[in-house]
Amino acid sequence: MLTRKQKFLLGLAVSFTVMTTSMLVFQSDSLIEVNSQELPYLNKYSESLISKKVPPMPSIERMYGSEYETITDLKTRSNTDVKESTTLPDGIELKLLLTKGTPEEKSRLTTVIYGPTSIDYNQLETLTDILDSHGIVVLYHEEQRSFDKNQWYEDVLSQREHTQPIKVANIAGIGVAGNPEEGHGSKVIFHRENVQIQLISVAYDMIDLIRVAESL
Amino acid sequence: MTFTKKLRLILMMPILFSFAILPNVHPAYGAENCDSGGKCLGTQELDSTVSFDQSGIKALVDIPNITTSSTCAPNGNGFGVVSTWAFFANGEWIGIGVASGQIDGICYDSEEHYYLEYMQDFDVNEFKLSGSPSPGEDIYFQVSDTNNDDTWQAYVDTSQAASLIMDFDYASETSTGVEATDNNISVPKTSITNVQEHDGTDWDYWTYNDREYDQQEGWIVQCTPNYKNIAVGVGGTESC
Repeated sequence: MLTRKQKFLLGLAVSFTVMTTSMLVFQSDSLIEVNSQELPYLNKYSESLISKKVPPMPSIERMYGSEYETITDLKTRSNTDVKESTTLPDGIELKLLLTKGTPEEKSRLTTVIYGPTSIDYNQLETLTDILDSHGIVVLYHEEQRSFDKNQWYEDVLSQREHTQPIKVANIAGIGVAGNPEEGHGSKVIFHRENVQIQLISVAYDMIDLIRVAESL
Repeated sequence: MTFTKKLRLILMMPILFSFAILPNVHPAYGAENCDSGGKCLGTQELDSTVSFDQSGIKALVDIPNITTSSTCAPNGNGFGVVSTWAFFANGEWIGIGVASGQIDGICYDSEEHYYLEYMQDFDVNEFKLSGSPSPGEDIYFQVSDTNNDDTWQAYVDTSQAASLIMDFDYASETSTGVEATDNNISVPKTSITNVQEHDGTDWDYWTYNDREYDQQEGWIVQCTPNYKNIAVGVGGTESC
């Protein structure tokens, strides 16, 4: 049997342990709060769609295919000249490398996803989650041989009211200037030979995306 | 108060404190449950194979008698739809089908209407198309870019309802199913048959699908033969 003094000491020890654990948990929570302040547009995209009728987005795997470990692996599989941007916004890093199709199939879509260092992108399920989490998605889409790039640019700029002509490192492109505050996304499109490179984000605006694109 | 009770209190306080703050440790970065839009649609969809890029989807829908209230309750937003969708890699999509309820801010009750919706350049658009089909009619709905020029057409049977210049000549995913904004919306059991996807050259019947969503009262089941024949509904009992 424990004496009253031993019980008291044991109680103090247990209390101290629990209190320490609680403080650590509190500390990690505080860090997330700090991150939330540094990431002011978390969930803005979803919020902007609340009053809209939006079908559920397919999963990341179904949209973009299998994940690859390195840029080299991705380039080998997709036969696409994929580069990691060296002009990313502060606090943003490479998160996911993906391409569609079975190994026997030719891949026409290669995807590179960037996001904040503080968020585990492996926990995200859909493109919506990525856009809600300050992500930048870069799509490398191989055009058909018959694709008429000049005609397409002309048609898009004349028929889609939110588009505007832009330059990415002196290459003509198309931009959509969104508004992160309103959860309205931005888009940058340009071509390198027969590959369309498209960048999309909600947290980063068109000017930010052009900067990211300049090193691709 | 005895010493033992004091000790218990000392022990309990940090534990209670821990429990109080633990739920805040894992923030939800994405929309919860209601998927992309945060709009809690009761949704059921089947999606096609993950392997291939797809240049279109078409399916034959037995028009259901969708029931919403005369005021499009709740809050004037009641809405039900049976549709086919093409999703693009940049998050844009095009859907065409049959709907009833609130469309683009106006409450259309008591009849079914052809319905077009799409997202382009981060704007969501929806339209009540001309024509009101009758329950029991069989209507093909199609979204496709069969000549791979990035211009996508949406069809009600053979009538072109829309032509949209998109960023891709293929969809990353196609799907078909039923949605409703509320469990009070009734979409009686109906069938979606002859579900086909375009592989860039030809139409082929679905040889694969994957039950992606299972929310609220919406339901979807595969019927014989599998993959290309489906039954859907909101409310009622699941059956083919």
